[in-house]
Amino acid sequence: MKGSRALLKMLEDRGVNTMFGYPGGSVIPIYDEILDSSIRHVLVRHEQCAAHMADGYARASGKTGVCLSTSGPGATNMVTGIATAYADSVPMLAFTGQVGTKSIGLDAFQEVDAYSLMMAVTKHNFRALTPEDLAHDISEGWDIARTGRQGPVHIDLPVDLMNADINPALLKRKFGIKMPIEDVSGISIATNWITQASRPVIFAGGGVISANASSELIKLAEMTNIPVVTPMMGLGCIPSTHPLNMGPLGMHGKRCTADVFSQADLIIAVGTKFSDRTYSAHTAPGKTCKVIQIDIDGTSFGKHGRESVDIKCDAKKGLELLTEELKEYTSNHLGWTRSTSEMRKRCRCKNDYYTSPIIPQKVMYELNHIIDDNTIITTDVGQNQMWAMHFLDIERPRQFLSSGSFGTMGFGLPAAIGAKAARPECTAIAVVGDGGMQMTMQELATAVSEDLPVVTVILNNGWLGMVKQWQKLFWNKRYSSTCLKDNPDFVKIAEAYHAKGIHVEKASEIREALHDAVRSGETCVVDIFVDPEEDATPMLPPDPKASTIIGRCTY
Amino acid sequence: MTMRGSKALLKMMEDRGVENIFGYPGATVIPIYDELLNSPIRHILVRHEQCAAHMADGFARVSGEPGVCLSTSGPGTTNLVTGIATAFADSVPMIALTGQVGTHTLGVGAFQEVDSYSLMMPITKHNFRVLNPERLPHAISEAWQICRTGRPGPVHIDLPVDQINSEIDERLMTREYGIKLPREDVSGIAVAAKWIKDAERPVILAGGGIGKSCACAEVLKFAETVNVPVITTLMGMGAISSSHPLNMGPVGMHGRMCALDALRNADLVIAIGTKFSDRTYNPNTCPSETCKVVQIDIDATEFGKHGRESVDIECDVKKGITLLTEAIGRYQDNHAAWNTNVLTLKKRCVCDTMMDNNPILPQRVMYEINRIMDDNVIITTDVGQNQMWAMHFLNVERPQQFLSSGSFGTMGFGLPSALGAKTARPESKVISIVGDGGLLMVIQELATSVNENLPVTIVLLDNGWLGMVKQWQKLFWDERYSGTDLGRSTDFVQIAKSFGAEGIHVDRAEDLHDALEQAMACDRTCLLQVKIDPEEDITPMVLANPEVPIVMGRCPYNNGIGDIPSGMSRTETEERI
Repeated sequence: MKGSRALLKMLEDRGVNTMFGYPGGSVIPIYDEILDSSIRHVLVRHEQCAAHMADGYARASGKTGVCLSTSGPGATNMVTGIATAYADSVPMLAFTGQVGTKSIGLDAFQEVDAYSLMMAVTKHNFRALTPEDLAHDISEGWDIARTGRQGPVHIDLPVDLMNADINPALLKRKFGIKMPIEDVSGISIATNWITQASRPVIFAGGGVISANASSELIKLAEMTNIPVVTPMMGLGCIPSTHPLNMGPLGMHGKRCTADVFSQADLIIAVGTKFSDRTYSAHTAPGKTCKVIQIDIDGTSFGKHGRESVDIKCDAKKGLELLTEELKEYTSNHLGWTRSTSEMRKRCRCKNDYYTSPIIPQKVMYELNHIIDDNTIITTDVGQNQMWAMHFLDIERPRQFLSSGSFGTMGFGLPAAIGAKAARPECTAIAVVGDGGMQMTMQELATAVSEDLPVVTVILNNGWLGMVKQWQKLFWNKRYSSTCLKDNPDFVKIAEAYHAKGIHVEKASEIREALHDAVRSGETCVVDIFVDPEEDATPMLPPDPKASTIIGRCTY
Repeated sequence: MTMRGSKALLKMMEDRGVENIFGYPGATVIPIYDELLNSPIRHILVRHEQCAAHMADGFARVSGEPGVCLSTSGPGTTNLVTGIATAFADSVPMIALTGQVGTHTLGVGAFQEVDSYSLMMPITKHNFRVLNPERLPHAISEAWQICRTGRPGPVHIDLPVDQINSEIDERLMTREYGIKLPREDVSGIAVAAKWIKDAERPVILAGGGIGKSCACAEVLKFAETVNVPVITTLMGMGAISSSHPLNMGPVGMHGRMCALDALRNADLVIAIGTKFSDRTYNPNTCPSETCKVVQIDIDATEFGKHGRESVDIECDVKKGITLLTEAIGRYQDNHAAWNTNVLTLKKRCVCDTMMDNNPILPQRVMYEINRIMDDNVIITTDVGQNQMWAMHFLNVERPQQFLSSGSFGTMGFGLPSALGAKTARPESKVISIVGDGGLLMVIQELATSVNENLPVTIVLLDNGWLGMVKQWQKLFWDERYSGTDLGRSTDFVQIAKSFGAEGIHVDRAEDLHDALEQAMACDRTCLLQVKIDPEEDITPMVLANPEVPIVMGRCPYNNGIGDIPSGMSRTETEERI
């Protein structure tokens, strides 16, 4: 079997039905085989977005996203998208073409040392140099991407290998990878700690969603009556409306969440990495607080600087074990739960503003009206993302997709297109800013040409808003290179790509515009002019001694 | 006396003559952006960091001075990768500055953290990570020299935010941190001179190293002294003017047939500042086994790729060619017959580009651009068919007039590099020749062009396809088109106007001239969306495999050796494909 055919066959055998890519000289053999394959190829307009789409696809579905590019610039263009998936532990296979094995190292056309390049931004990577390598690398790559803490795997494919013959028997061979080592010996101490805690908090991160352990989490929380806080990556692992859900924690999280978290005497951390934006001097609990941490990745342990029990296993398994051990549990923290519940009630955001210009809270208010179980929200990065995180009601896992750890501007639109490819029955809505939108707006062409209609809601304030906010609050309003001056007309641009576009300038027009956009079934850009002076608040300043910036927050 | 890191960084740049930085802000570089408000350096705000690097690249190619780009940590850094790799592959001097999370946070999975040091290693000439304040002036000083010395290239400096906020001893900023100059070996000059005198069929293969070394005058003098025909690589375009009688034009996959014939039949190749890339030098273009090579290059890793007996002169091109000219002294031409033959070939290699066809043929677009080109015009290209048409058909008269991503072949290079060129030479008219696929990759930079007042002319050859890959599928993959049809056509004129630029649709060949004149006269950025025939290929096409016949297309070249009849009509030519 030809190498290119073997590659696609192995992917087909693993259930891949969609891949995102862009052709080029060194991958023509693969593109030729795609014509005869059951796999759908989605042609993007910049390879960065092939990776973001594969990422959005994976986050929305739990399946492995697959992207493909040519050698050289095709490979380097994917770097940002792969790094984004890596930072958020998203399973992905990234294939890049490469010059022929005989030309490697000779500065051939479109050659880059992709193997070295990708090492820093992938969970693992391979360069296939023989037909045996090819079968081995795809098989192992597939397993590695999905096993343990998930992540992107890169496979570099020299063009001669794609044209070479490969023994079909190799395609079926098992190349087993080792499962991550587990250590659940801490369960009984953990149980003991939970039983004795008087102010326990569950801290549920993205690992709960990756492990599909949302129902196990809710079960444990309900059984023990312990309040739950989530970092941004954990949004959706417990519904926003659940009485025990205190909401998101972090630089722009809910204030009741920060209060609850910092007062805790026990944190039960599940699938979260204690990132600097979540766990900081402003939010960290007292030194005597203990931590129970469940994580499949041992490198995530010990970052919190507190006495801890580390349970090294999959979030689902860890939660099940804890629940099992706590069968006889009776709460001795009734007072605590009552007071956290009070805090939650006091932490109500007013969103229904009829100001002019529009403020973003109102947009979130209107979005909450149209979000249902069938809606997937993606965000870009910056203020738009923080407003969405803070104000949107997210009811289920994989409903809210956002570039958390890497914070990649431009993620919103392509991730929405990827999500739409994974879940065609869903409505995908990207909440973006005007800066991030410009980084990837060429993908409107992909959405239209590939019939993957998505709605993009632009919170257009004419600034690189988050950096501007920092300059306003911490740098004496010395605005340097954050004003976008004459922004393009995004509606006209949408139309130039044969998409729909709607301008919104009044708060009273938002609802109808969103409804029109969703109902149209077409790719639609809703360009909402929002008040450039509105900041994302509350905000925990980077300076540990500075006090919280409250803004409109009424808590 | 001490100075804040961010200020010291900019001060050292100012002291080195930097007037422009291309960048995009983010959390970890806010201190630098704050200092930029007090600096005479102009900051050009891009719309995607990839293009900050491409602009710095275009700036450097035109000015010969290092281009400087700046981004934040994490995605800002990874977004620069393609632009830096492009500059690296074409040996362009550049300083790429990236923000980084604080040194105490490195390695713990902080927000927008990436191991940029490892990441940049394969795509830069050198790179630094500043981990203590003393290292900052050292890194900047050395980086500045490294990127310009020997074979130029990009240097990356990673700047953790706490370093930029810390105080630096000012004395360190003026300290000399000398780097070693590349070693030289010019011992082969005498043998080289003898070979040149003895050669019967010599050619000069002129590469990008000539322009970088500012050695065009010296190479021209040498070529005229020894009366040897010159062929250029894509990167060597402009090293000798297109109209010079000795210039045979570009050689390569889509080069001139007469240049190919000259190279193939040579008994001596005098290679100057060129790396024998696979697209230029391969089994189908190379001379016979007995051909000798004299190679001048500052980078010894480029020697010996040609597989022929050679003399390698390891030094700067300007020095090498000057020494060679001196060593030859008074030269007596003993290859008059060869020159006569070669010039005959050149006469037969005349492209018909004045075609009235509708849909428009790209050759005609090049014809019209040639009509309006003068010394004040700079051309940038994107990658693919548009680039090859431009290379093949445009008259490039001087160095630094034709900018193209040669070795890395980066789609999207055209527009941002034009903006960088315009920044370097505001008095010049810059024309960017692009395809529809490549323009989409960087279309957002129209905003940069408008907002930063960097007007350029964009000539979009719009055929609705990823044309070069499509051409391969058409010619070598049974017309099985996969992933190359761009679907519903995009209205680029409307997009240009949405950004506040001008746009003109050009659908008829007879409208091209006026539209170009209008665009050139416009003081704003103007995009010409030229609908061209999607069935037109870039020909001739010479694959590396000698068993695959050359695809001639419309090329009427007849070298008088083969069986190609002269004076062919268009239909006959097409049938030959």
